[in-house]
Formats: sequence, structure tokens, C-alpha cells
Amino acid sequence: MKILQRNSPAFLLAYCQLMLVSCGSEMLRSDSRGEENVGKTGSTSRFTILNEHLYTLSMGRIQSFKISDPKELRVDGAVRVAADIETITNDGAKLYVGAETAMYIYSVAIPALPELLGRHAHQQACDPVVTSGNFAFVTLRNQLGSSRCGRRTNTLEVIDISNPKRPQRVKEIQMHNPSGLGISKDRLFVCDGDAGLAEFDISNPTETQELSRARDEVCADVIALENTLVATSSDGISQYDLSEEKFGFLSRISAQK
Amino acid sequence: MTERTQRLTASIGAFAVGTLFYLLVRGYAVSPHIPLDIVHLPVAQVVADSFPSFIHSIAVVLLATSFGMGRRGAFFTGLLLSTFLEVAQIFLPLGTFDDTDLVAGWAGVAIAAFLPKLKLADSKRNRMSWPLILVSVSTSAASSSYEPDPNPTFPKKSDRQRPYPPLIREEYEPTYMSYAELRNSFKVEAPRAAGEFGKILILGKRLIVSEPNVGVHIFDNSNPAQPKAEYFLNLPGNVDLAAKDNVLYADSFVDLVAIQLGDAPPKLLKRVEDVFRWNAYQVLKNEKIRFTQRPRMELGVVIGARSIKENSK
Repeated sequence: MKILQRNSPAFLLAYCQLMLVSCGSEMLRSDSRGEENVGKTGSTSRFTILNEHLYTLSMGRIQSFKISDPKELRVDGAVRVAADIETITNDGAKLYVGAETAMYIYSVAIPALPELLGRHAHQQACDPVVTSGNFAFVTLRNQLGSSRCGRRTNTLEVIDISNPKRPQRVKEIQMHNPSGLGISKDRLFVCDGDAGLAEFDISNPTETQELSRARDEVCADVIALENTLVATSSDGISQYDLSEEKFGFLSRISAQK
Repeated sequence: MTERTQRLTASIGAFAVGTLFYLLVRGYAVSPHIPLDIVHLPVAQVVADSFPSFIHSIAVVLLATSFGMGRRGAFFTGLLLSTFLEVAQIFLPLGTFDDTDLVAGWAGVAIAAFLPKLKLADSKRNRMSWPLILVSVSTSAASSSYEPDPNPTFPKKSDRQRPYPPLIREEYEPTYMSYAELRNSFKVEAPRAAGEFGKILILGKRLIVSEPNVGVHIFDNSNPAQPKAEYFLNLPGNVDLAAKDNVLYADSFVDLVAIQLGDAPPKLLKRVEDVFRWNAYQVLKNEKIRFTQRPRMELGVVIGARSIKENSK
């Protein structure tokens, strides 16, 4: 056909992209599951402790501090990562550094000087992730007023990560404005903005289903402990009982403006 | 149909096909109301991820020939530019470096320059083809991953709706806490209410939460139904927390402190100085204040802003 032949440049070229979104899956949750006596945090931060070192992010670098003897706390080493790094966490063996445009994975074979193992491109440090077995759960949120993390979608994604090089999305659940999330056994808890705190059944992740919702709980993040769930926001800290499949309110510490 | 009309039709058709491509293959980028699912094959995902680079390089070659460059010149221009742009992503936050993107770019250049049947790079047509240029430039722009500053300081449309601001300009100067004061600022105090909560940490029976830039609140959470406030640690400039073996590590502006927790009241074990970035706007994060004179790092850490009213002429 004449058009195809002579105008194939246009045909091949012009794919108008509607959105500038890259991929979904971002940094892992910092919960130091494998370590004893290490404090459990909710959202990822610029600090993480792995074995005998505290790793902090500052000025585009990972700084390591030796903490085996806190009275002798000192800088032990620093490695340069990238200018846009924001968060650091670990899974008991490796460090994960979330940046604006990628996620970096570091080995701590030499604890003072983490060594770059790999880099996952097309990942933004916007969206929280938790993992359980071969699945990862990510929330994608439209952050109003943010061009970097603003997008026309508010969803919870279930991703099969059995092959870490090629994660595959297996389920997508519409939500209101999801942010932080946490897992306790077979239950996933997601802060859903003004729509409250949602509880999901993830015993079969590909069939993730919402179980219940605490509509009054406006939280930014959650920390799942043995038998309690701690829901946090800048205005307050609420705790819920999770023992024996309950989801009952326990207490709240409120901020006073 | 004239050739111009043909090219225009083809451009529009191509835009439509491209949109369809993004709907089908990169479905998550578009409105969730369209019930199309993503293709789950790894091959499709590699193609989807690297497609922008492929298109980019074809666009570059076409632009080059549109401006009159010969086939070979266009090929080398395309090769150099696509390689350079990809490698530059290692050093600049314009996007991410991907080996598949690099290969896709080379493939695009090769196809655009040398496949005779496609007649993409045809220097005989030296005059510029506007639909092609338009399409190339808009595609390149649309597929780039440049992200503008999320907090731009130029006026937004909403500002224009208000009446003009008064001619008196508000100027701000920083208020400092000297380094000596900073290093003397850690205090263990009786618990008090928090204005807001930041980073939180659970350590054994304790719930430890930062009040951003003010200090750290420690609660006894052995009974989660009744958390009891134990202490407040005055720690200016605190944002982050980590803990292990009953030692709390917290930042205080540019310093890192280690605090012993346990049955006894908290005790400062060690302070490591000048390990975090000095940030003049750390305390002012939520306010749109910019200092007119550069804040001076040697004077201390910035703990606030003071306005000095000044008339503008």
C-alpha cells in the first residue's frame, strides 16, 4: 500500500505517549525481619541497620557507621551512589537504595564499604512495597501537586516476583488513595487515604480480596507486629489488635496542634 | 491524495496506533477504567520498556535527513547521539541506563538509515517534511523521562487569580543555632504532647517516635491498649531513627547521636559531628520561604526564618 511504503517513517515513529509513568515496583519495606533486637520501622527512611553497621544516606552517598560498640560510634566508610537517592532499607542480607530513577542493590560483604550488585532501572522511589514469599504488593497513588509521583491511578498491585528480573503483575485492585502498607501473616493492611485502613486476605495472592475496612483510620503508614498493627500519620498513632483474626481498635496517641 | 495529505494521514494513524500500543502493552499508564490487561510475556515487557529508545533513534535519523544530511551522515549522527544519550543517563538524572535501551537505539538507527524498502532516510527529499518533524520532536519529547522540579518556585495559575500582591516584598533571613548550642542541646525531659509525628520505631516494648526537628518521644508500649509516655528527648533537627540492642541512633541536624535505652533513663552515649548534609531549609520544609541572602553554614544550623520587611521601589 502506498501509504505504508512511502510514509512508513510516520507509521513507525509517531507513538504518542499519554503518560510519563515508568514502572511500579519500588523500594522494599524496612522491617529488618531477619535481625534480633533491631527496631522495627514503618516507612523507609535514610537510616538502616544491618549486622554491626548503621547505614545512612547523605549527600548522594551511603555512609556506614560501626555500631558494635556504641560508645565508639564513628564513620567507617562511604560510597557514592547517585544524586537522587532517597531511601535505604535491607532484607537481612543486602541493602536496597531507592532513588528517583532507579533502585540500587548493594552487598555488604565488606560491611564498611557496600558494593553495588545491581541496579533496577525504571523504578521510582515513590511507591511503597512489601513482599511476602514470591509476591510483592505495591501501592500506586496519585500524589496531588507532585509531577513526579502524580498519576491518574490509585491502585494496589500484586506482583509475582518469582523471577526477580521480570516481575509480572497478577492483580490490580482499585483503591481511593493508597499509601503505606504492611503484612501480618496472611493479611495485608493498606492505608487508603480518606477511605480509611483496608484489610486484605492474601492467603492466595492472585486472588487478593478485601476483608474489612476501618473507615475512621486515616493513616500514612502501618507497621505490622506479632499481634498488633500500628497505624501512623502525622496526627497520631493508632494501634489495633490482630490476634486470632481480630482487627480491633486498641489505642491512639494523638498529636496536639 | 497529495503526498502531504498522505503523510498527515499516516501521522495521525501512527499516533492512534501508538496510543493503542500504550493502552495494550503499557496498560497501567492509562486510565484504569479501560478494562485492558497487560501482556504478561517477558519479551513483550522488554519491548515495551525499550520502545521509547527505539523510537527516539529513528526520530533522530529522520530529523537528520530532513535537514539534508546524507544517509551515512544520518546513520552516524543517530548512532552517536543515541549512544551518548543512553550513557549520559548513568551520570545525569534524565532517566536510567539500560542495556536493552542501548541496543534498541542502535537497532532503530540501523533500520532508519539503511533499510531501503522503508525509504526512511532519503536525502533526495531535502525539503523539510513538517508532519515528520512534528512527529519526531513530539515523540522524542513525550518519551523522554525528564521530570520537572516538583516544587517549582515560579508563580502558579492559582496565584494569578488573587489580586496583585502588595509592592512590599517579604524578605527573610535565617535564625541560627550555633554549633556549640547544638552540641549542648540533648536533654532528657518529662514526657509532653507532640505537635506532629514523623518516623516511628518499635523496639521491644518501646514505641519511639520522632517529632520532626523537635525531638524524640518514648512510650512504654508493653500494653498496646494503653501506651504510656515515658520520656521526651530534646533533640533539635531530628528526622530519622534506627535502633539495635537498646541503643537508639538518631540524627540532630548535622550530627548523629547514640542514646542508651533500658531500665535507666536514656543517656547520651556518643555524638558524631558533621556527618549529615547541612540544609538551610530543613526546618522550613513546608513553607515557601527562600532566603534572599545565602545562609552562612559557618554560623550554625538554621532553625527558623525571620522576616525583614523591605519596600521595593
